[in-house]
Amino acid sequence: MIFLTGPTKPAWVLLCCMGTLLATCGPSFGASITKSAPTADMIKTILKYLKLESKELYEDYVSKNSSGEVPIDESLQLPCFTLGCEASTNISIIEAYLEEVRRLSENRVDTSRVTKRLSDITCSDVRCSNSSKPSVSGPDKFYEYKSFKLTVLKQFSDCMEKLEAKDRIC
Amino acid sequence: MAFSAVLHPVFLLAVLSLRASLTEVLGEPFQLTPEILNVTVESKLQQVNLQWTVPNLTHQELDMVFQIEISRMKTSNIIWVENYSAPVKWNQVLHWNWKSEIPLECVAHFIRIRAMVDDAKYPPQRSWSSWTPWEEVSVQVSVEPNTFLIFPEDKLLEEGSNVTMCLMYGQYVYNISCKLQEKPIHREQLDSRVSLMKLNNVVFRNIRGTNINCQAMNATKKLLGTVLFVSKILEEPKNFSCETQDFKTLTCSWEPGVDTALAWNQQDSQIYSLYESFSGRQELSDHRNSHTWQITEDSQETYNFTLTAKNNLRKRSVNLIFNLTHRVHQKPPHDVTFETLSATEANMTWKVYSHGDNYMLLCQLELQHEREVIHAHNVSVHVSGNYLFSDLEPDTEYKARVRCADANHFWKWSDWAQKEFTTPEAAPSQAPDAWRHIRSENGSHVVTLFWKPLLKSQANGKIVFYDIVVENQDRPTESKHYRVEAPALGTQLSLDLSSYKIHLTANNSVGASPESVMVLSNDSGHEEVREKRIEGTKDGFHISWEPSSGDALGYVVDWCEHSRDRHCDLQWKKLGLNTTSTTVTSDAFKPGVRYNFRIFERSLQHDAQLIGRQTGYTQEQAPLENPQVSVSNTTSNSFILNWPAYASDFQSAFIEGYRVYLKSKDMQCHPKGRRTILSDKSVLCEYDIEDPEQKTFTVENLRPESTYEYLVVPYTSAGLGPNETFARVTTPDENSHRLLQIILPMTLCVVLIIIVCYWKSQWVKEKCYPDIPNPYKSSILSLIKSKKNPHLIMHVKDCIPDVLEVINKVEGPKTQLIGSGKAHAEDVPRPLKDTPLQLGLLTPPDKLLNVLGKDYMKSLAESPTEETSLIYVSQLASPMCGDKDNLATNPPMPVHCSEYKMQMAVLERLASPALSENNNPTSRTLSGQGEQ
Repeated sequence: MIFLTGPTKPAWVLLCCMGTLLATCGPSFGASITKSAPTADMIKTILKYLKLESKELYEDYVSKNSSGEVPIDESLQLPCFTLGCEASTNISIIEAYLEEVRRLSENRVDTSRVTKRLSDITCSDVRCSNSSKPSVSGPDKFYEYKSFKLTVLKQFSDCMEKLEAKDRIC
Repeated sequence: MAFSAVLHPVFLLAVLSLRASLTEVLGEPFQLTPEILNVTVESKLQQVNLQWTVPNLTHQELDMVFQIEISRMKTSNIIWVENYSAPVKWNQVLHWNWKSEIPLECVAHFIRIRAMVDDAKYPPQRSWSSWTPWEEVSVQVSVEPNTFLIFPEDKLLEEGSNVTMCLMYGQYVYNISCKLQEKPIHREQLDSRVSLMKLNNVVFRNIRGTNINCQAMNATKKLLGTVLFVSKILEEPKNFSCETQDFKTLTCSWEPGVDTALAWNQQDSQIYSLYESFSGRQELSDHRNSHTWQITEDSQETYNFTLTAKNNLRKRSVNLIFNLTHRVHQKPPHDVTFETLSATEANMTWKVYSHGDNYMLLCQLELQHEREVIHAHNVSVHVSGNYLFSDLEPDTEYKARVRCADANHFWKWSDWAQKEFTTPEAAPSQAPDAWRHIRSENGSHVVTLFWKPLLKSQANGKIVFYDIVVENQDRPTESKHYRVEAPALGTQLSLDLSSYKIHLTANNSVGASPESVMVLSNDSGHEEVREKRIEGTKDGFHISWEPSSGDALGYVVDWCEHSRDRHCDLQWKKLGLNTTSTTVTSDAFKPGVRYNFRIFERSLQHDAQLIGRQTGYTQEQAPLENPQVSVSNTTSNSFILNWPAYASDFQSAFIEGYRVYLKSKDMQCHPKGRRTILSDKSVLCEYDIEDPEQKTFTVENLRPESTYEYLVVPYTSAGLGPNETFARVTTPDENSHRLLQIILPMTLCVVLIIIVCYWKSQWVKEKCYPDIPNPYKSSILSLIKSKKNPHLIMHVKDCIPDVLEVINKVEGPKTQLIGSGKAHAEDVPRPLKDTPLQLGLLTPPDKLLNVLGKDYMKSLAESPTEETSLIYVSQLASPMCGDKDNLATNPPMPVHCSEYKMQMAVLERLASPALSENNNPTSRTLSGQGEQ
């Protein structure tokens, strides 16, 4: 057995405490090292912008396609935000849909900005980050493209409209 | 065996050849039945592709006709028959295609073909072969129960074309409806599970296509539809042309027409390609409206271009053939320079891009001043050119430009090459236009000189200053020099009454202008001429005058543009000798403003003589204000209205007269006036004064003590002055002035008398009614004395008193009375000792006591302390001076009477009565006649 005396003893105590703290909070610290988590203010700001921009996207699309517009495809259900780890999954799905809209429209519907914002508020908790990006493929007929694009943009806009300001995502 | 196997085909060929030869020789129908190799469908294009061959063809090449039949749904329902002619070679695979109106997914089609030799080399063999068997053409589409499909999918078509769509629906699906822009589309049932929808003359709506939305009952997918991509019709390129600047590249350009692109990857913008037939080169254009074609070294002179525009639906082409040397578009000239030779001349030089020794260019020159072309000239140039511009204006900015073109084969002008230059200054070429205004002031002439700025073409540069030389003509040695810096346009000189000659020059940096001369004679500014009224128009004034009889140089018309808040802005117009009228126009002329024009005659000696004055308005207006009216000479039945004259220069028109309004409750108008009864039953009289110089109006025949309202309004040719509030005047009482004449002097007299009386009251009192009248001093006495009649005076001693009045007074009151003032003291009878003479005149005291008797003495004894006094009591009171009865009740009062009263003196002690309660002196009447 080793007995420690003098200034070495407090150093060992401190070291032990630090070790415990790291063991307990390791995942969180690890996550914050890989990607800095957005603050509550940042989340509020990003959600505010998302609300505006999703509405703009939808309204812009409707105004440009006002002539005999195709109906909403009610069979398509885009997930909305929820708290907790599901948020990451939902955001990934929304991002995938928006990306498909951009692809189908041949970049005429530019969803890159909102996708970036969604990415910015994606949950940084490593415990929740196991959701892989889903694969979404839109329809192959132009008529169904249109319905798909309209439905995704509308549901995303409606989702953001209903969303209350949140301090955290996960 | 092997041998026979080799021989068998050879034998067959030989037999066939022989048969054919025999057929030809014998003239029998020669039938070649085609064989269908393949039938394919291009669903997107709704196209059926047929491939076949003619198996038994023995000729190298044979012209044949093929008849193709297409039936729909069943073979008997033939919907299309077409003959197709083609030269056919041995073993050739032939192709034919057909576009179906109905999407091929919706219904099955059948196709067959037969052939006929149609070759001139082998007549007469026109006989159809037998038909090939029917080949079914269909696209396998399975429609599940509770589903429906619509075809075509994502159809591209041109604006104005027709399209047929079909609906295929499975079991249990019913009530299908389709709409275009919310408008239902009519359906035509093709069979139990297929219906057709025809749209004719489709229109372009937007680049995102036209949506057809369908829905059906019992379908698992409620909504279905398709998009019709309607494209605009591709237009032919317009104005296609090619040219070169350097013989190295050809620049071809055209107008592309509408863009037929859609927001769909199947229909981009049309593409343009150029094909040159001589070289066989084809290039795709990177731009919609131009392409640069590289000229190769083989010095090709003639080019034949075909420009083709193409999209997925059609292509359009235009052709252009030209010689390269005829399509040279020169580059703009370069190295343009100017050399100013003088204030009016400049030499221009430039260089061009030459294309050989024999290459001549035609260059066009333009000289511009203030964006206006003032000179144009063409010059032939080989390598460089120059041109001399003359007659230029000094100190002027010019822009010269040059462009060139092929002189032999004119195609196009090059772009302009331009340069700006400014000519140098020169001395002013014109004398300034000057005029003067003369005003006499304190025995001298105040001369205000005005001049107009020189025009740019006259100034020849920037005017720096004006020189003024004032030359006294009476004393030629006395001349003064003044300098006025530009941009001043006037100055003021104070000159004596001598005759002067004024010289004015304008100066720029180069020199002075010719001088402008004005002569002021001794009487300048004092001319008296009659003023004439003129009528202006909105455009100005026409002014005319009598021509001069003498040696005039010309005339000057000047005027002052009056304004209420500005000084006179003198304007003038110089006119020639033969002119006797002019029209003066100015943007500054305003309606309702009076303008005064003066006409001067200019002599050869530069003297100016005023020959006329004219005044007028461009437009007369109604007066803006009424005169200030005052009322004078108001009597009970008349008054006079007065008003001042207007300042004529500020009249809005010539005053033609005044209108006087009089208003009252009850009034008779003068016969010259107009009477109007107003709504409040008052009477309004209107009088017109037609003489504008009349400034008074007398209103007569009025009632005393009545109120009249009046208003004086001027009128002009344009109307009356403003309608303002009436003023009031009230006539006085008819007799009041007479009463005043009487009452006032009377009042004065009375006041005077009162003053005199007050002043002389003591004297009057003493004269008329003294406290103790002295008969000797009485005026009556004097009167009597004057009449010398002594018997008229009654002496006291001759009288026997019949009554004695004794007044008792206590000491106190006496003291008080004495102290209280003179007036009371005079009322108190004086002590006896003070009146010895009076007593002496009366009865002696002893006798008097006897007369009084015992009673009186007793009463006196009972008041030993009282002071007794003796007074005189009227013995013979006249009825005129008081009522006798009153004597008993009222204390004796002084009676103001001029008549004498008989009096007697009584001892003061005896005469004092008993002290009354109020300490007032009381009296008791002693009468020999007993108590009353």
